[in-house]
Amino acid sequence: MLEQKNDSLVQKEPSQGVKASTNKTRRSFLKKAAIGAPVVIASSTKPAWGVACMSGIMSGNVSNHEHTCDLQGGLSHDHWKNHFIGSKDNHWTSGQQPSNWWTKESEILANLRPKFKHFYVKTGQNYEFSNFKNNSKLGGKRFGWLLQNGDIFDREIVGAFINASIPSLGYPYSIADVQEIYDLVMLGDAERNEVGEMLEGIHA
Amino acid sequence: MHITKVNNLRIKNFNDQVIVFDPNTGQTHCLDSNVNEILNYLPTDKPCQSSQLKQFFMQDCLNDEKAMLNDYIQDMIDSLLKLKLIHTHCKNA
Repeated sequence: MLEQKNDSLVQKEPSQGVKASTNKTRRSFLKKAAIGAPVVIASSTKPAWGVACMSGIMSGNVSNHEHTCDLQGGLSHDHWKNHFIGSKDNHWTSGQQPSNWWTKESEILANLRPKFKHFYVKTGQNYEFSNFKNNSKLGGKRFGWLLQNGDIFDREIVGAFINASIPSLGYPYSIADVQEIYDLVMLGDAERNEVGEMLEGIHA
Repeated sequence: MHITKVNNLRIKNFNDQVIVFDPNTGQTHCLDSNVNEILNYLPTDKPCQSSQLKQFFMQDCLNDEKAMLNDYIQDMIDSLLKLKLIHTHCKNA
């Protein structure tokens, strides 16, 4: 009987390890409460995961040959390559002439007409606007050309710019972030192929 | 007040801070590492009373410590609610 009672007591008591852990947590709570430490340090749609990935690349701690970066988002360069619609006077997908496109998509185009100064692209069944058809950072080369002919960094950074410019995609990098990544590579602070592979792993 | 943690949060610890990515909103938050203790305690399915959560961390404390902890934990709960990392539930829901 006594043994049974002791057993039940043992079961209800938290283990020493749990107790020590809770005490440690409590001390940490009290310490932060006493100094009025903020709970929220930063909050944004900025890609904290992605920043971590870039930091890893720059410190040489992360190899992305196997796409080990946790971040996921946006559409792949392959998608953009095959859904490159273009800008004003340049409306076509690969293998399609402008006149065909205008005929087939006349209703959509009527709605898009006021916004022709923008580059626009197709995501699934939706037509989305991007701020870019090219970018001065990319030597004035057109996105479509880089998607078709660029190396892994060229095509992925173009994909990143397009992804970042379309809010509905929920891409984890902002345009400014992508520009920063580009600058890091151009300054030699990050290796071109590594960053290309990281972005390739991020893009679905 | 009954609360639950939202589903599928991705959490990584970096020293004294914790990075929380919420795939439901696409937002990423950098929070004090203590928040992780709260998130760890909260389930995603069964609502938990906030008083129960506080009691867990305040047990065996002196009264003045309890008052301090109560305010601090409430501050964390309020912040997590604002960030939509936890939800409130009606008791009878």
